[in-house]
Amino acid sequence: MVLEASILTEFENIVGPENVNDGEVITNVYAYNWCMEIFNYMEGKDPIPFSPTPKAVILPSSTEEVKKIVKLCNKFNIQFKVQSTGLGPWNQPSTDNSIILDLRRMNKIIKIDEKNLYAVIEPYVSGAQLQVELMKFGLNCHMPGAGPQVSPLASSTSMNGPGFTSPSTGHSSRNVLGVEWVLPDGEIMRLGSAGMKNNRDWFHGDGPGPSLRGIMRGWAGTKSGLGVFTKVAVKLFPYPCNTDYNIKGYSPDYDFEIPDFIRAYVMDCGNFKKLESSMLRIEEEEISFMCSYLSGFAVMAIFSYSIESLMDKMAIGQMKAPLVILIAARTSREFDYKQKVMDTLLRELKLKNIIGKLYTPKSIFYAEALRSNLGLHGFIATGGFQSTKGVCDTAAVCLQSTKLNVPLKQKYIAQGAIANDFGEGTWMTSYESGHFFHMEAPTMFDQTDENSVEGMAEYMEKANQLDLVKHLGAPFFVEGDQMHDLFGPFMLNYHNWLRKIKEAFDPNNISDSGFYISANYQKKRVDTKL
Amino acid sequence: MSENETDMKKVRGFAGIIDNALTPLKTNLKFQTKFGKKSLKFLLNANNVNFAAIITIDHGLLEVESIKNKPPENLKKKKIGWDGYLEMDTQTFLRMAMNRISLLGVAKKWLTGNVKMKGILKLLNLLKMFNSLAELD
Repeated sequence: MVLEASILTEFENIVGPENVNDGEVITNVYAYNWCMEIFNYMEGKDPIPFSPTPKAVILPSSTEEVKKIVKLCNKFNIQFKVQSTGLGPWNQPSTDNSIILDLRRMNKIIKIDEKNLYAVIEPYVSGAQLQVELMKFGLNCHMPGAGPQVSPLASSTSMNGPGFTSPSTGHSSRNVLGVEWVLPDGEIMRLGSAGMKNNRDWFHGDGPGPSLRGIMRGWAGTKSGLGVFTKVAVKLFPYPCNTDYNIKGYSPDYDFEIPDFIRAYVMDCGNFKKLESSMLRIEEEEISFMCSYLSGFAVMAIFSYSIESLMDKMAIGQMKAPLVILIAARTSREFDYKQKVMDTLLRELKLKNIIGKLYTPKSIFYAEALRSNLGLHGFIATGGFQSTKGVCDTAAVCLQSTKLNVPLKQKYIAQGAIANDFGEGTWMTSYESGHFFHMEAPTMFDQTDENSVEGMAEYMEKANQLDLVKHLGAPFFVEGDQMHDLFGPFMLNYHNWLRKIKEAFDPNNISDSGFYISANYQKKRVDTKL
Repeated sequence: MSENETDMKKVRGFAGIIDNALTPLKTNLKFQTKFGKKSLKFLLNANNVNFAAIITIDHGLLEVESIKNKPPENLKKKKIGWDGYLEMDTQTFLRMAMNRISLLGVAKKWLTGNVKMKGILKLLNLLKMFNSLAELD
């Protein structure tokens, strides 16, 4: 279904005809996204990697243009779905009555305030781009586990946001400061200090008056269900070591000049009880840049660049509860201190570092760790990858969730639906030096095999149910009406409040709610294959 | 060495995985001392793929070669001269190599015919060898 010619012209008048496309080729390309097939299957549709085709794709270049487009959508009752860097099904329209706002022309770093440690960015600035500019000031930003290619604005305002460097750089919801937000009715709202009448600036995310950050994104973001975010200020951190970043060679065999003061530790804690106490103890010292529990198979993966090189690390895979720590420093004095603390901790906890003994990582590992690029190794084994779970809680709850997920996952491994990681595949990280913890269960499947996709979707659904029944916290993918209705009654009926927010902010239901919540959803039985 | 000779020496498929997995042992003094007096040859066959691995320990020196596992005559003791033979599917092998199956578990699979073993006492050396991977320093 395409837009009427007269409506198309009105959109063209806003952004110029070269920035609007309703052609069959472009709109169908935009209908594709990674993992769409799983979400289709979970909703009882065919497991194909395509969403409903957008009526048109529009590329605004400024907040003013976004505002005009949103107002036009309200006028003609057309929904919009917004993308920044566009990774995953959350960027896809959920109905046939939707256009896509692709924000790729809004790609500027507006400001870096090196003194007050924040940067103001537009939607299409990637984590890698921002980091490179920040490194010139000896600074760093938080990047989510999805990798350096995604938009920090999207992660800060609209999605979840744990990352490999979370022990030192936190979670996206904790790093968002001032925000510029085009509401679903087309009005512009500026949050925090960005909204002040006088001396407006971006350094703060709350007030004046009550904070709206909870409404804007809460824990997991509204995934374009509540307007468009056009600028955001994100908190910055000191870069963990010297900022020289010299790489030679060709993909995937790059050679990285390892900075002077950086060291990796991989230790087998043997069991979850010791893993928990070790993580808590190490994080108490506030020295780690990275501190993750990864299953044996996952440790093999982060050190591998092909299937072949994955399988030659079976000795690493023998570890039952591996803990991966990275320490980094800017001076030799700081580095000596951190190493001494680690040495003391290893003695105290009776742990042995295998790095340099059983295994020596390629230099590129350090480059990827500094650039938060380790998550992409999840794709190596089968080409298809998605996580289940996603709880944020204490280390004990995260490990309980890990433990209970193993037999469930093994069932689908036995069916041949997902790849064999013995059911253990997990990534768990501390946030903010052990202040709280995150766990998810990365799972490898074959996107080109219908049985694998079906098995993966079924496993994801069962993993969600397990979280609910066993009180393991809210997983990542509680999104869309059905899931909120499932989890809401067990979580203080938050879904009723979420609906009220949606109704108040988006009375015409213009901001696509496929991955958020709709105001007038009538509970209905959807025939799924599950 | 000519290019063809290099190709012939290339350890292929499943055997390549075994070769890569055991590579850290090849230069390890502890392993060389432990197996310094032993001369053993094992045939490791993953029955769901095309190449079997011949693992030779010769007084602490370790070598892995690949051999096509079809026709079955290729794998005969008479032809290769192995001391121990182990056959299972790759998934079971993975579990064994990564220490996710107990000896009892392997025995169960042996009783049900999912694992085939010949020269069991000698094969214990193979198990020791894989376990020693985790003890390297």
